[in-house]
Amino acid sequence: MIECDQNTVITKINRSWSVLSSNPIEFKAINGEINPDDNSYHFAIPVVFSESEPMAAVALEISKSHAVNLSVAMYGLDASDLSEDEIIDVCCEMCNVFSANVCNSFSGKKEGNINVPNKLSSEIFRYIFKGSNLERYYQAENEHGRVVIYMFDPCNYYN
Amino acid sequence: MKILIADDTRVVQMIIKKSIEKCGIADLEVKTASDGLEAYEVVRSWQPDLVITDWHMPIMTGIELLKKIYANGMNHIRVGFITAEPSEKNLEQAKRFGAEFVLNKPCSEEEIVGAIKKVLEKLPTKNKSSDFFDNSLGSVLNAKFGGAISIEEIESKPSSDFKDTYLIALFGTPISSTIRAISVIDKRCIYLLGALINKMQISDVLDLSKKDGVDSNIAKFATDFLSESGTDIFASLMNTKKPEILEIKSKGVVSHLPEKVCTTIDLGVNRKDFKLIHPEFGECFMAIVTL
Repeated sequence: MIECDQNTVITKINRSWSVLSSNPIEFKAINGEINPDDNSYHFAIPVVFSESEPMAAVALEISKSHAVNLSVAMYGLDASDLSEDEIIDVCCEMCNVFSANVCNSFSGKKEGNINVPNKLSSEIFRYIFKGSNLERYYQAENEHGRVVIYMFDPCNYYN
Repeated sequence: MKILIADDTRVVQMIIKKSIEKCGIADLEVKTASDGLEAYEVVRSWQPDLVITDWHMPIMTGIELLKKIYANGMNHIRVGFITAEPSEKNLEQAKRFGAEFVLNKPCSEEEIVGAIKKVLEKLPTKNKSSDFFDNSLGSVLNAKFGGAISIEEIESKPSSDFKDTYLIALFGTPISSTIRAISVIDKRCIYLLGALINKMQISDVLDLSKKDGVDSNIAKFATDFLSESGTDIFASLMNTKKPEILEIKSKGVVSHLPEKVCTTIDLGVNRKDFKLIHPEFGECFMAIVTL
């Protein structure tokens, strides 16, 4: 059941990335260990299932090179014309879309409601990573670095 | 054509704006808002034809924005969603509450253009409606009164400035939806129109109109005017022919418009203020607003 959900989720994630970016990459569900990359950008969105359940979260880690390329594709500007705020704006939108792709696939949970994304410092993201239960993550990697979608349930930062 | 884009990410605002610009809309004006509350304030003051909104936004969500727009009587404003909201139940709710379209992010430019064009097909063109209104109201009154009065459109004044006016609400229906209008008519204007309809001497009515207090003629005159012209006024306001008038609610003469009515008038779409001039009677005023 989870395997089937994962395939559906991966299809959605890959489509989302390819629609918004001009540089398609292939995401995979990874079961192994992972260590957050402090040099990447981090974003997170809380996921609420019900008032009585602890909140989960979907987080996005994106290398700066991927973030710039994505912003170039979405804004239609040269990389040199993009501000840091514009790059963060684009990554927030990507985090929002990815969260919608995965938020209904948390194990044993019904439909989740997502909120608005926040940019996190690498310190805050490490705090979340260490204190939360990482249920699953999806990763894509190429010469521009990696993009990781983390699914935390529960997430210590939002509870 | 006025379109408001409500989304908390600037890149999405920009992508939607680019798509709108490819729809070939004449007289296009686009504004953006970054949260639901800001969007609502723009809706109130700017009265867009279409609002394209995200679901998840700070302060007020897209669905809350949609409900607030319609709860405050701005039923003429079309609302569409471009959102990553994953819940089918929530998206269905948006449609139930009147959303024209719901597109899932990420969506292509073609999908956005297609959805907007479908909405455009349903909208009456503003110029056509406006011309019809101006000509029709002028011609309605002139046809009734044989050119005895001249009619000039004038700049709207704040609704709170209306004093000693006759307040009438019209409820009617064309074919598929209910239409509403409010007429705020200067007390003297009612006397003038009543005199003309009832073929009375202007000097007699002029005397009546100068008296303090409310006399019994004014309600009759107002009813006479609306029974004679109500259908045509509706037709001109809504750019529809021969609507059925369901109800006329007359509040009678009010010294000042109630605050709620002022708000309703200020939110109206097709407000037009007119000055009626009669050589003997002088000037009087009326404002008509569709809701």
